[in-house]
Amino acid sequence: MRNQLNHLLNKALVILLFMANGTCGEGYGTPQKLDRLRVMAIQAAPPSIANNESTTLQALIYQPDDREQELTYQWSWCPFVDSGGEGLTCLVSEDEFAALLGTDAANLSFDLGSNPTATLEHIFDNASLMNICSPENADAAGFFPDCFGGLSVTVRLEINDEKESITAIKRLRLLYDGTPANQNPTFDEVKFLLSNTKLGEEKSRPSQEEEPTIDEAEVLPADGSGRLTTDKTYHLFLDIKEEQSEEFTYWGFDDNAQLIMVPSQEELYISWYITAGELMGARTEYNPPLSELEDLHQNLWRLPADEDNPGNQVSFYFIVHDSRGGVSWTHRSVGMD
Amino acid sequence: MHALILIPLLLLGTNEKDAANETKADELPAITRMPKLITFVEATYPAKALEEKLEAEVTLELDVDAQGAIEAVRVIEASLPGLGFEEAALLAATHFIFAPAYAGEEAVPVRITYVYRFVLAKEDLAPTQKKEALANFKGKVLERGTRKPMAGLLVSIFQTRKDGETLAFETLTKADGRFVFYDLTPGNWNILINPEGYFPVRTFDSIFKNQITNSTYYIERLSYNPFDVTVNAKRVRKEVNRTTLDIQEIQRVPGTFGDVMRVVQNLPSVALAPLGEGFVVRGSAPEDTSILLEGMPIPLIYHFGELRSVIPNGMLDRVDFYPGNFPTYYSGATGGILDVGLKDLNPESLSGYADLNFWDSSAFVETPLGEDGALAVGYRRSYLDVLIGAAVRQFASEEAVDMIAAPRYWDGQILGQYRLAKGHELKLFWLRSDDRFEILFGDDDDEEQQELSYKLRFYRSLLEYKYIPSQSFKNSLKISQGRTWADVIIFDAFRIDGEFDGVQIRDTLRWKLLDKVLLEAGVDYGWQNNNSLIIAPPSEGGEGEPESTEPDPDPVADLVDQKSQSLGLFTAFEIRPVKDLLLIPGLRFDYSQRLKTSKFAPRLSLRFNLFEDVVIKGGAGYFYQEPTFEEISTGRGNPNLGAEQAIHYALGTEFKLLERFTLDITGFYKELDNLVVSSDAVIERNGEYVPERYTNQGSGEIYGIETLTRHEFANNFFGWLSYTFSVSKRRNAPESKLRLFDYDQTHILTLIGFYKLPRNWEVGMRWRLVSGNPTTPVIGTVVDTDWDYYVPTYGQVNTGRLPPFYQLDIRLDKRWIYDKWTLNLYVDIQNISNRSNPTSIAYSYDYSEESYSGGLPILPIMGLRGDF
Repeated sequence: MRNQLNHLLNKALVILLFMANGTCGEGYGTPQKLDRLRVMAIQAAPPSIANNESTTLQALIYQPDDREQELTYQWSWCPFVDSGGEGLTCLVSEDEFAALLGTDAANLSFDLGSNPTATLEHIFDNASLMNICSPENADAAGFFPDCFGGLSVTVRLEINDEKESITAIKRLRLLYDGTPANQNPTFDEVKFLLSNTKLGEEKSRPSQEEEPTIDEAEVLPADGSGRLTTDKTYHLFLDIKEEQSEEFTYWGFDDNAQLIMVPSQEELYISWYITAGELMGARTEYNPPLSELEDLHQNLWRLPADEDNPGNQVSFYFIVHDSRGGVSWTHRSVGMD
Repeated sequence: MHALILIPLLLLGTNEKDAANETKADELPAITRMPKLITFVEATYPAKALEEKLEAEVTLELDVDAQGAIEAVRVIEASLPGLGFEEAALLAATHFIFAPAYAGEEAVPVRITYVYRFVLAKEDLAPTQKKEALANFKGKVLERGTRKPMAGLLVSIFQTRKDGETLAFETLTKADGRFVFYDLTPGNWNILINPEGYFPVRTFDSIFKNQITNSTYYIERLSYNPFDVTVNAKRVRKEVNRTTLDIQEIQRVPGTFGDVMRVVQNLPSVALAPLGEGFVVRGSAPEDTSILLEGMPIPLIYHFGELRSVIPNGMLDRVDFYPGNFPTYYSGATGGILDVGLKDLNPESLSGYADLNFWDSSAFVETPLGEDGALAVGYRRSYLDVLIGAAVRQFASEEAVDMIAAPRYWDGQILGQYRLAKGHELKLFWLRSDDRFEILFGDDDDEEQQELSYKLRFYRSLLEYKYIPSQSFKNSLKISQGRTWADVIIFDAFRIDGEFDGVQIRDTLRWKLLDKVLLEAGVDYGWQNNNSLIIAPPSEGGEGEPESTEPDPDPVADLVDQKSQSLGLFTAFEIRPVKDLLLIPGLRFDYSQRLKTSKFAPRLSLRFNLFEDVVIKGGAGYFYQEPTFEEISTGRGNPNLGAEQAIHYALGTEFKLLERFTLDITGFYKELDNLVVSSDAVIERNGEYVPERYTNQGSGEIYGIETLTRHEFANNFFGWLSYTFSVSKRRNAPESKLRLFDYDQTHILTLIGFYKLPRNWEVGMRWRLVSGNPTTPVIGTVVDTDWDYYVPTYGQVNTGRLPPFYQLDIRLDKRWIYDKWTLNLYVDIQNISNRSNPTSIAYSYDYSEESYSGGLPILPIMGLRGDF
């Protein structure tokens, strides 16, 4: 008789060791520090499109100053990719997808060109997509497509600067069932405020009275004229309003297994990137009602005095995501005293 | 003292040691001088026989060596058996000294027949009232440190009178170590007790008129080495590959902290498994090897997955390890079997031990209960929570940690044994284990309060009733029952909250049907109830496949309420068609209510004595095991899975290389089929389209050769060298190529040595060299910009390897011997060179860099153990 419980407890131990390693699947190093060619984000504007609509794709790329080679781009898309481990490769050919749709493959192309931006058109009628998303089709295809809030398709970008190449993906939704479209989040100013504590020595949970608010902060100018002081800790704020966490509905089931539109609200998270210094967190999140907006829109940053920073300039990148594929970003540069 | 007239009768016999090695009569040396008895020892006349005025003759066979000492004594027959004459004659004859026999100029060993005649003196026979002898000197001889009564020792007393004459008497100690001298004249008497293997006792005692002198003498062994035990009976070897380790051997192996389960890791075919996962046996997954207590499953082997085993050595007698081809008595595993046996209690008096070390303290006591029973109690508790409590509370004050229960474990056992009547024995065992630690992050009123806790407790009770009316029949009925409570929480990522009940009943019959045929048969019934909530990430890629590439996959919840029963019938015959051949064909039948299937498992093993000291052995058999309950659950698995299967083949030899050196070589091959592997497919089940998650499409093969060279304890040294070469491969689908298994370790080399130094010092070492585990290389990455992380692209599964593992462990023991107890100080240092042996690869966030991680650093344990 096999030891059933031992097997499960071993799994718990593995998860615990994984977490103790501090990686939680992310690996060591400082991902928020920009020191090499990076693709930080891909935006689809808009992030979900209905039949006969199109979306414009662009990427936020960081290239170090010493890398002056021109980048080459190659965009493509695919309705179904593998789940990871094999390079997120496309699982169907154009002909196969056309067959699933019941259309002619001649008008279907996964190639989106080699310009810095690309355009994807939603040319598929609702009935075809509804058919793809049916359980019977899942059986025929051998896998479940992601049809929550529209058919999820994957856009792929490969960039190359002759020394290095990076492949990045981004998902967007092809709407077919009346689900309202998503919008990319927007935000106002970037602000900053000198902190009373030193990064690394701050209390992890400051009391409400001590926590500064965005209203007290100054605007960090977008023209690069702002200046900050080395070895001082600053609160950084991204002025984002709560309504950017959009309310939406999706098709779901009630307690009686009846199909209904279920109300929900987007989660937001901000990825913070820097070219020098250290951040309190690489990511901040807003997950209503479990967390507050204040947990999202602020971070702490410091440039240690002993850190080598040629050029005495620091750049910040703020990338805002919502939980339905929407993304926006902004960037600031400051001089250091 | 009674006066005895003893008439020795000496008959000559040839020195034939073994009928198989018969020497022709004309090749025997001609005896030119007979052995002559020069020191005769008077036997103690059995009291009951003396009372009943009985006389008797005991015919003995004596092996007299070339120095004239007695090598062996055997009782051939007694004219009045069962009255103590045989034992008295045996004890006395053991101390005879002869002038050796000669063949020409050379002294030679001989075997002679000797008749010891017990004859009462005339005054003893006379019915007249005789003067009652006064037993005025009574004593007891015990072994120093262990308080073990010393039976059969020669006690000599002598007194030199004023007139220069020396008066001397001798007697032998009885089974309880006691001796008696009668009618000694008052005064000082010198005492001499000088048995082989002990420091002599030379002392004196005073005898007073009309008084009885009572004394106890403690005699110290020359060495308290655990291997100085006399093996009374060699276990009959009948399996292809069963290794039995005695607890005495186990406790001294370096790097194992005296832990029974860890010693098994040093045997051939046992590979290193990652922390807490058990044993990798002949290339099988850890969960494919069953770990049993008296043939019954126990939920956990170690506290906290790896620290200390849940049953301390004091309760155990042996560990039986089968790397494969195990008999029909066992089922439900396709790897190996590790069966730990409880000791048969036979304490002569209250005894036990207490052990104190860095990790925990333990105590064990056993005592006789009358003449027919015995009881043992054990307890162990860790004190990490006490030692690190202050440091942990400091951590709590600095972080937002609201409550902490530092890790601690304890276990307790009770073992009782009682002989109801001749041939009827009852044994009852109860085990309780409790592991716990807990950390709460955040306040109670914080909605985001996070918990990290591990609470696991279980109990097991085992009742065994043995009926052994004769040497040819034995029946054993075992009933085991237990419950496990598990409550494990790892933040939001993982949770088990459940109760697991189990009952198992097994009846086993062993019956010698004919002189050359023995039947073993039995029935096995199991009942399990699993009532649990499991919240865990969706199962990863499964064995052999890379881990999930999602950064934070949503946990999947599964509520399990499942009862299941199983029934097994097994039988095997031990057949000796000719003297040197043993055949064991067997058949097992199992029905599983959970899988709704029945299976038959034929098995065969054989042993053939090719020559003296050379054995050929082999076996083949069919084995199977059920999927884990997670693999078969509706919420997380596939309830339509079937049993995994394996066919084992083995062929090997055992032989004696040299005196004290044995070598065991076995080649093995295993075919695996119906293995559970992960599946991305979508299937229709009960009218719905659902993810399949798992399927039985996997298969595999394992082959290799294992060797074990053992040096029995001699010249103060004991050790073994084991080496295994093995290849373990799997495929996930019939059309897939075979690839290396996750736990494939091609070379496993273990060297263990133990040396006894003077003054009760002992030193041991263990050195291991093992191939690194296979790894799947990362050959690229894709940036997932939606989730802000890098998705690795993997190369062919298990085409890379970690660096080899090697480690040196040392153990040092020092004993102090006192009259009534012994004290042992030990230092056990694992990984004395502090080598970093990687167990996994860690990558940078973008997989552009990699480094090795894992492996335990140098780990010393110091402890004190007192035995009484």
